[in-house]
Amino acid sequence: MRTRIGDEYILLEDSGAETALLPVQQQPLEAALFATLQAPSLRDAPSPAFVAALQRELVLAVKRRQRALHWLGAAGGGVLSLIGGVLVWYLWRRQGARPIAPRGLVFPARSAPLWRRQPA
Amino acid sequence: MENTDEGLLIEKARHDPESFGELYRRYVTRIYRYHYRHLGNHVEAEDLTSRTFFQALRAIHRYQQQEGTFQAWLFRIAHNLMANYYRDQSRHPSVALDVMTVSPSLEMSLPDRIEATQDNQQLLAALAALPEERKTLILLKFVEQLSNAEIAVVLGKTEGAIKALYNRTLASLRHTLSEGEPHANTDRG
Repeated sequence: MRTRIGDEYILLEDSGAETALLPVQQQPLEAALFATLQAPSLRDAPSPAFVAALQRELVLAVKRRQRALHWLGAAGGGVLSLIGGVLVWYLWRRQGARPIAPRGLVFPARSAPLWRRQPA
Repeated sequence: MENTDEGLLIEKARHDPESFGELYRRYVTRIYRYHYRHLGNHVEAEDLTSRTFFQALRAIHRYQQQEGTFQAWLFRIAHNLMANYYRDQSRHPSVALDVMTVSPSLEMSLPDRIEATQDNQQLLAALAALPEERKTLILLKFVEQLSNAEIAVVLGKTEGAIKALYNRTLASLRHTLSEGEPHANTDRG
């Protein structure tokens, strides 16, 4: 775009190769691009054999992954069960090592009703 | 955002092989075409297509609709794989676009058909000479018909940056076409 001041023209905008196009310039170019790139001869498609083979491989890969996750889950559950079992056994052993007194004798004052407590 | 049907399919595809297979059938041609348009080689396009879907399968549990549509997510995987491919191979192919032929309609007269063919070839050659990112933008917009927001997800840019890049690309294309011959690959994006 140029503005005339006296007899001189002052360049107000870069007029290089990448200046934005006007709509009247842009629309025909976009139409040409669309027509050229959407031409039937450019609509390449993969071979049906390739599509079918890749689909089989992908489905197999999904199934393999599911099977791996299934076994991983089962193994993880098994290990956790084992750890839980060992923990229960250990606590039970610890409990078993202590002398077990009859319940009434362990905490006589607490277990007795309040009104039956002896004064100190 | 995804339509309900596709959203449900994606949810199911996280653990159901058949649903993932259905998603694959929906997108395999487009992903293949995207790779082929860049590489111009069927074997390499098939290889990258296969890697795109295996990577999508591994990562589908991480996909979230809030981050963009599924097709944008999938094209982003494809785009990243292609970028890695170029980096690993240290090669920049003379892209397939300039070797493809576009046949104009048979209803046109012979001189018109010749002229149309020449115009198409000139446009394809100009496209082929574009930097990789700009070419990707044009292919995603005109072939795959992704929105600016989706292209932004694929290229890892903001929507505003994509609009600006698109305008610059069109201006550059027009400049190249007006000169009559494609420019060399001097600028990168």
